[in-house]
Amino acid sequence: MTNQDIQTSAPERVFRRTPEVEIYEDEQALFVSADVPGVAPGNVDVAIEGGVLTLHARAEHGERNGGTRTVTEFARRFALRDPERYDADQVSATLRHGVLELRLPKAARARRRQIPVTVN
Amino acid sequence: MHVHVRDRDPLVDVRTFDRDVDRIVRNALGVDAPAPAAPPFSVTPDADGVTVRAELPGVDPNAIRIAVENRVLTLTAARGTEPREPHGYRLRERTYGTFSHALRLSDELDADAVSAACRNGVLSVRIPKRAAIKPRQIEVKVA
Repeated sequence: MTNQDIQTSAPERVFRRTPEVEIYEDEQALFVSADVPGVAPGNVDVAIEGGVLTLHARAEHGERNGGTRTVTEFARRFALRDPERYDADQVSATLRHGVLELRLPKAARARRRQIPVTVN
Repeated sequence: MHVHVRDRDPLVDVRTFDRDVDRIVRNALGVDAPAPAAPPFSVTPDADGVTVRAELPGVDPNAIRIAVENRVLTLTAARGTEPREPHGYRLRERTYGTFSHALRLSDELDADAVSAACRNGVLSVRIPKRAAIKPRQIEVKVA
């Protein structure tokens, strides 16, 4: 991202932060949750491209310091070790109480199969 | 903070890379000091009172307690963990538990007029100054 992307007509002061995350995996999906306090729904961008998961969120703090808006930009990237394992089209994201929750479902073939054992 | 990223982890943190890129860009632009982060807890006075801001991501607003006793304002909030299998975690950077902060209110602040709002994981508490005591006009009646 370039500085031009975050320029608006009003003067802005941008603080960059790396959100703290928690990553959890089970047989169905990979869950990534990131603390993004102050971010309103709609100011979140999540992308998976070239095997890289990118989280981007923007918190606007209103006017301070004599008309200059202050903004916090949370950004973090992860390289997926095995991108084929996940169904990128089915990724879901929710934002609740300043926490961004992502769910990356595993592709059907990557899930561990439970094979019932029949005893004769 | 020490973060474990093991070989079998499905994600590789690119943070170090991002930080390096950030530094290179800053150097190229001639920006010497890194941008300061907005603090997770701040107390900001202004002409009409004081605003306390606390970042409480993941905390249910109903689980935040604000009390004023003997001119001490106490904020308490707890963040609990989800019931999950411990072996499923690949990375845990958050801290859980109880957040508590106490502030002594100066005499010019109105302890009875404290208001609070929590939005998108950020708590804002406003403590206004007391309304100025207006000089009483005593009417002299003519008997």
